Amino acid sequence: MEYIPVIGIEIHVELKTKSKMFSSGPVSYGKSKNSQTVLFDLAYPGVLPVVNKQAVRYGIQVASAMEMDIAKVLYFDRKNYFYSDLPKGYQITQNDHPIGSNGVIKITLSDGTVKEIGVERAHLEEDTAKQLHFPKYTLVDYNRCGTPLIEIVSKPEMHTPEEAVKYVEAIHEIITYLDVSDGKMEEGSMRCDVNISLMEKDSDKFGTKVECKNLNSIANVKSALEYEIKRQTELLNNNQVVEQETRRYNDSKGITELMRKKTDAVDYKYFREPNIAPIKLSTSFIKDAISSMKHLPEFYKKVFEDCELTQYQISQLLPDKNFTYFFYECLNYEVVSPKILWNLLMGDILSYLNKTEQKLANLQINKEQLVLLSNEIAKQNISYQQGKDVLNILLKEDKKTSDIIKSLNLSQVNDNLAIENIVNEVLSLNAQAITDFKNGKDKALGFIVGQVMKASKGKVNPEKAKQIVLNKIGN
Amino acid sequence: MGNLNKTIAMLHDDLVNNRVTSYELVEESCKKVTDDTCNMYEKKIVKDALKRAKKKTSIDKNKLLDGIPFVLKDNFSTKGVESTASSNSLNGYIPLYDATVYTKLKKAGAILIAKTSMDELAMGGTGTTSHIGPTLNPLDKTRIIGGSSAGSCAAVVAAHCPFSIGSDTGDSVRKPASYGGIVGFKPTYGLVSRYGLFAFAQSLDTVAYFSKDVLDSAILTEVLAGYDKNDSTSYKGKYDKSFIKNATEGVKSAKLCYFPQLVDNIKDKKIVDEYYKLIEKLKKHNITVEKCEIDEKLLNAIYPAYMIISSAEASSNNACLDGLRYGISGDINADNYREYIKQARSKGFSDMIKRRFVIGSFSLLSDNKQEIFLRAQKARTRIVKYMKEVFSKYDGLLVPASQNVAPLLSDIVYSWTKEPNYIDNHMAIGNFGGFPSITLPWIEKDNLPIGINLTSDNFKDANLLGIAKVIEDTVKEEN
Amino acid sequence: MRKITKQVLIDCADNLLFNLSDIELEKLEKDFENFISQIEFLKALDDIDSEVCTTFPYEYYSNYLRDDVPTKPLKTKDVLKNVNNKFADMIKVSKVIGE
Repeated sequence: MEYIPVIGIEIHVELKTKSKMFSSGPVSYGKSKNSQTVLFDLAYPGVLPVVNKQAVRYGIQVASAMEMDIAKVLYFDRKNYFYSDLPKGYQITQNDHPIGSNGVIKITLSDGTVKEIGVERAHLEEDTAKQLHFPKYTLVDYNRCGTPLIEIVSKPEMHTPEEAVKYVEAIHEIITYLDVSDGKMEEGSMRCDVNISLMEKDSDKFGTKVECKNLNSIANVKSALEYEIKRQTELLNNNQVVEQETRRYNDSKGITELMRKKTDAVDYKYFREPNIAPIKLSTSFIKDAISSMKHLPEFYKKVFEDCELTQYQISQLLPDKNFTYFFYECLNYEVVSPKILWNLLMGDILSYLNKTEQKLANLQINKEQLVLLSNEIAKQNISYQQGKDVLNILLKEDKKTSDIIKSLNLSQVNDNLAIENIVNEVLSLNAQAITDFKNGKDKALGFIVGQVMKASKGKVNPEKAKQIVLNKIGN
Repeated sequence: MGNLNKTIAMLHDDLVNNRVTSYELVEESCKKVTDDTCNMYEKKIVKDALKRAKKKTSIDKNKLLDGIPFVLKDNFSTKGVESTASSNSLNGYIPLYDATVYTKLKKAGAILIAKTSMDELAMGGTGTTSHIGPTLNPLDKTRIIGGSSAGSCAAVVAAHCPFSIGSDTGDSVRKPASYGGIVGFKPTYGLVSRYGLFAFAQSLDTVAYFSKDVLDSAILTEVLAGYDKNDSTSYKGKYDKSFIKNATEGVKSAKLCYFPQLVDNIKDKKIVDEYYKLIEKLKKHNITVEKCEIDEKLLNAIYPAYMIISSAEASSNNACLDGLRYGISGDINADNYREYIKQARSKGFSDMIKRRFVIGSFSLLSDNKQEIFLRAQKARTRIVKYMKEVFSKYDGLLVPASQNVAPLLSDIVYSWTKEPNYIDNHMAIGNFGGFPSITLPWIEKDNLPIGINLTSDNFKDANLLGIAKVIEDTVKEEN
Repeated sequence: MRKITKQVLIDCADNLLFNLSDIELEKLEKDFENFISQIEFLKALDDIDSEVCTTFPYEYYSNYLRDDVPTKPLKTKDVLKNVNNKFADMIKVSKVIGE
């Protein structure tokens, strides 16, 4: 029997506000234990929730980015359950009227097809406390308690791990570009739970759903899904049933493990939060939130397409907004060849960053000088090889490209006669290579051009040198 | 006989004219509070009160509450003063902040003498379920004073202070006021901030207060009403604020109504007769009271709707009482966190509270919600809709606040009745719609008081106080 | 509606994290009998299911949203003031995970 996986994804995103969702307690990380709370965060008797304006703005922006219907009146509900990290004994969330509903995310698959994934809802809620578990007891730190979250729930419209990965990447891009969250999966500011079931081919009946938690990287989303598809397929092929359950992904073993059976599921006893009167969002408030949205990846994609970067090049830039912004800001200067600029950024600068363990955001480099360097290469005033030397200096020192080129005495020899002289000299010293070439060894050509470059100390235009060599020894 | 039989207005006059000092008032209050024999208090702070009174060397003549002693129900947060809401679950809990109401009263110069006993977590109408035992009626100690704001009511009845603060979720101020022969006023929902009031059922909970007369209720409303950004259900709109003016002058005329079942079904026909005598007398003051029909089905729905909504909300509100951050806790060596919390909650709540939580929680289960909780909310909508219709024709609903005098302590039973018994529970209407509602002293039977209750449309608080003033004067004429 | 059995009530209490003694359970069962008969009075209202649900006593829409400005947090020692079981500036609770 052939099965089609049906995948739905719930993503919790911690919003980057200064204060908490329903209290004025500060949102800050890495502070000492229980030093970032106010009374509400500890659920003291008599305290009341007050909704954070910025969290609502972020909510509207996320909803708008996913082309959702945006709620005009905010309502909140209680989700009732007991847990040691939940001080009120309930979480304030939006069950009946999410701030955003009916959205869509466009993903581009590796074969180039574009697919739309429906997003059912996005709602605002509050985070729980952090716990430190020990064998005999647990310690609770309430600093994180009440941090605003937006939960984004997809429709069960994905059918392959690749689609799921692209979907999560797309959400990650949206929230990071909007700058509503750090979106760090490994640190928990973006958390993914996936639901997966198998459907018999040519059937319209959904299979039993399994929920996978603890997926703290996009790679884990992929491997957990692959594992589950395999596991469930085997179960079904052996005439066994897939149980409705929650499973945890074990990173080190690369497998999912049973957390709890659905029969132990809690009834959340949802009801409308009586402590928050309905809040009308004015049209101007919603409009203002939307108009102050930062550009989404789509915007940059168009700009990059317009300057003729390839789809591959664009796809390398977009996932990390810092590279996108860097490249985009360089375009403020006149860039002769965006492709050469891209090579400098995604080749040389990136490997420099990796080597020195630096982040692009912290890199001190004058973008104008970088563009000028790129242009010198594009105009063939210097070779790419020489450009790398200039770049190495630009990365470390605040100098002008033109001064560096002058001080290194760099220039590219483009004059045919001058190149021919060097070529002649090299050919006279490499008779064997000429013979090899004539006998069909193509590699010999590269060797000869390399010798020309060496003899010219890298100043010769390599393309021209190659042409002249060919003219001389070719047929 | 001391000074504290007087009203706020009279005491203020005495204070500004130096006929008495704040210290003398507070001293008298402290003495009475210390000598209490009715089990009215959770926590007495007499030493502190005397200290503060000593510092009060002059009285601000623009602050009517300046230098006046009062008591506060134990479900209001008071910084540094143990607050248990009369529940073992909160034993030893010292709040870190003041409720908005307390902050406002302090600013107005009033001096807190004690925190008062109440039905545990405000869930009850008898004033007998506090963890320190029943609060007795100062007028007859074999009887209850009613609840849940029992101690706050008893304190004013016994003249320990001229006013006190309570909370009203079903009739928790207005019913005891009837049994104590004093004024109990619950303003419109949202008028007075709930910030710092321990939640029972927040869609119904209202800050409410006891006083000797209508004018004092108006004075308190003037001090306490106002938008509070800490309470997201606090009302920001405009409304008539002439509380004191109206309560002084009274209205020129008003058109009221009554539901016949709430009068004629009272068993003691003498009380029924008294009611019709009252409305006859009110005519002379241009207040007409007409019969207004109501479907008995609506009246029958009040009690179940109230119990379901309030128990459901309460089961959620009190989930914070887990013993982790405050209040009594479990044994840390318990098998797991659930057992740890269970220990705290099992010993923290009385069986009556547990029963209400189970019923409330049961009503919210996904299998039951439609048929129980949501239907109760719908019944609430239906009742409020009807009342809105009534208030479009009448300035208020005037009915007896209780069908009899305060019951004997020995007659109290603690379980649900089979029948809705609307005659004892109708005042929850005021909480369903967040309507302003006031209980006034009315008649006496066997030397014990019975009050009359007036309920008006939302934000007509000032007008209601004006009507109440006329009724108050009429009742006084009578006696 | 869920059928009411002793077990359902015990489960309900268990979900609310408290135990019921035998006497408490007995009283609760009696309460439930009356409770169920009371529910009938809601059903008796004509066409009640067509009504909307009320949470807020009257129709009121707020427009207030709090500006995103953090206030000074509580001092850790104040957070711990009412806590019975604590360790290393944290609130201690019996074992949550692990057997």
